[in-house]
Formats: sequence, C-alpha cells, structure tokens
Amino acid sequence: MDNDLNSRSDLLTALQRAPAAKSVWTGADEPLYSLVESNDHIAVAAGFKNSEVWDLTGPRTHLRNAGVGLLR
Amino acid sequence: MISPGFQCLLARPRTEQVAVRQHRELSHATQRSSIQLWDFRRQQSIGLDAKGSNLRLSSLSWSADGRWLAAAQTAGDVLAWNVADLSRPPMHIKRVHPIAATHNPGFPVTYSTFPAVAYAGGDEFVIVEESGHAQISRLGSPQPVRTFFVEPDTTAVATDRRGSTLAIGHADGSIALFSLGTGRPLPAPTGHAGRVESITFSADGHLLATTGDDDYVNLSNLGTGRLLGRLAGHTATVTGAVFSADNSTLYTSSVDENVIGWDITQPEQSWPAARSTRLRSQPRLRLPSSR
Repeated sequence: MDNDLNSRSDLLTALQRAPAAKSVWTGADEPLYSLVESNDHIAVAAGFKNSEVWDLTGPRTHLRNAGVGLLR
Repeated sequence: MISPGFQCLLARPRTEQVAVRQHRELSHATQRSSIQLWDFRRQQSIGLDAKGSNLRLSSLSWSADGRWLAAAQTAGDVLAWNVADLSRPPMHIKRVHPIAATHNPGFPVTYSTFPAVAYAGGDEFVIVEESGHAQISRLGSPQPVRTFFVEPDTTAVATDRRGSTLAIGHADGSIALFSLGTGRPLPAPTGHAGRVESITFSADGHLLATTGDDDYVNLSNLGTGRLLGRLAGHTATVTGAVFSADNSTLYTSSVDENVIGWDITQPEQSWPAARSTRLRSQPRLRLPSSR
C-alpha cells in the first residue's frame, strides 16, 4: 500500500472493524455508487459526478489524480 | 443497484472494456442518460452512445460473450445492442404499451417501472420490474419466453455468469434466489437490515456478495445459502461489489467514499456474522512507515 496518511487511517479503521479488510482506496470527496474491475486489474468506481480509477496491481495510485481518469 | 440517478459501470466480459451509463441532468424538468463504451486502458470512448431519445436508464447487462448489451429504461422498455455492429439500431426485447409510457413535459414519465435487466443464458435476458413483474425475453422476439412474479419493491437484480441463477434484493433487506431453468426458488441467503443495494456473483458461481444500506457486505455460499460472513468496515451504505478473477479478493464501494479490498481466502471464522465493532488494540497488518 502507499503511504498516504488518509489511506492508512482508513485502512486502520477498516481493520479495527474486520480483519478481512486488507486495503482501502479513498475516493475524491464524493460517494461511490458502482464498482467494476477489468481483466487487468484496473478498478473504476462511479461517483455522482466523476469516476475514480485505480490500478490494483501497483502502488495505490489514484489514476484520476494523475489526469488519466476514465471519464473526462 | 436499480437507479436512474447515478452513474453505472459494467465491465464487458472477456475484454478490457466497460459500459458506462452516465446520468445527465439537462434541466429541472428533463433527465436523460447516455450509454458509452470505454476502453479501460486507453481511457477513451470506443463508441455506443445511446443518447438522443428520452432515455432514462435504470439498468445495464452484458451477455456472457460480451456481444450484446441490454439497457432497461425507467419507463419499462428494454433495448439490446449488438456491440459488434453499432451501426445497427438496437432491438427491443421488451416494449411497454405506449399509453403506459406517455410523457408529461413537467415530469419525465408518468408511469415508471424501474426495471432491471440481467443475462439469462443463451440469447435471453431476464427483466424484473420494481412491482415484481418479471419476464424472460429472447433477442429478436417481441413476445416474452416466460413471465412470472417475484416479491415487489425490488432494489437489486443479478444473475450468475451463465445466466442460470437469478438473485433479487428488496427494499426490506430480503434476498431471493431462483433457478432460471426451473423457476424454482433456491435456498435464500441472509439478507440485510435495510435496503439491498447490490448483488454480485463470483465468477465460478459459488459465492454471492450482497451489499446494503446497513453498511454491511454479506458473503454467502450459493449452494447452501449459508452466510459465510458479514464484512464490516464501511461507515455508510455499501453500493457495489466485485470479485477478483481468482476469487481471492472482494472489492466494495460505498457512499463513505472508499473502496475496500477484502481478503476472502481467510478462514470463515475471521468473518463473524455479528462481529463487535469494538476497536482492536493492535491491527494485524504491519503498515509501512510514513514518508
């Protein structure tokens, strides 16, 4: 996982509730309503206005923050 | 989740593509949705833009081979596109009576059925309306193959990858399973304390994940209907779930703005059905040092 403080805090919260939680990806300040994963482990979650995109295989980089989000 | 109000994403089987139902509010009186087909990796649209009519979509479904994409409109019509030939217009696999779908300029539709559509094997799709009216329709046939009724107030509908098992969630938190081949009910999995938001089958058809507005994720054995665990960690309504291809991880999305990856290879005792939310003094995983 990455060293993002918010992500680590969220994972700690999840772990405190259930040990099966092993990773947490935090969205960009909006509720997430739908989730898919591609064959090559790209995850996309639909927010109300935008879609959040993560590469599940590498560092927990938020692709949308890198300017290559799915929906523009 | 059956809803006309939010974006909906649906991965196309055997490809790196996703169908996107994008909600667009054009004015206070008119709401429309469009369907777009996106390439995950290239991050760009590759066609299928169904906007233009008074589409207000409640559900999407792919056929198992990824050739057909079906979309249900809130007024009750269900359309299907052959994605290999997007120049051809979609075919209706369900058409409601014109009177029932009469539009009122002051309100999007006067009669809404909010149907959900899901793949039912072969060239068939199952359509379930909020009222509980359900039917199996075949591509190219205007008449339903079979009609039946389920409990009303349906909020989530899904089928397994082969289209042999139908799962239906309800506003009261209950979940029902049916064999689409026989129409008979199967052992019902444990439901939720509130509205069922989403239902997802594992790729091998052995596991079922359901999410609800009780903030829980329920993981059930489809063969027995037995609850394997209630995954607690989200702090708001859990809206979606997807299994990894190897069934080792379940990913869930939530109104709490997080996606959580769950290790579902752990022994079942790690997922107690009524786990206390009392804070643990020491988390099990070691976290890397901060930068």
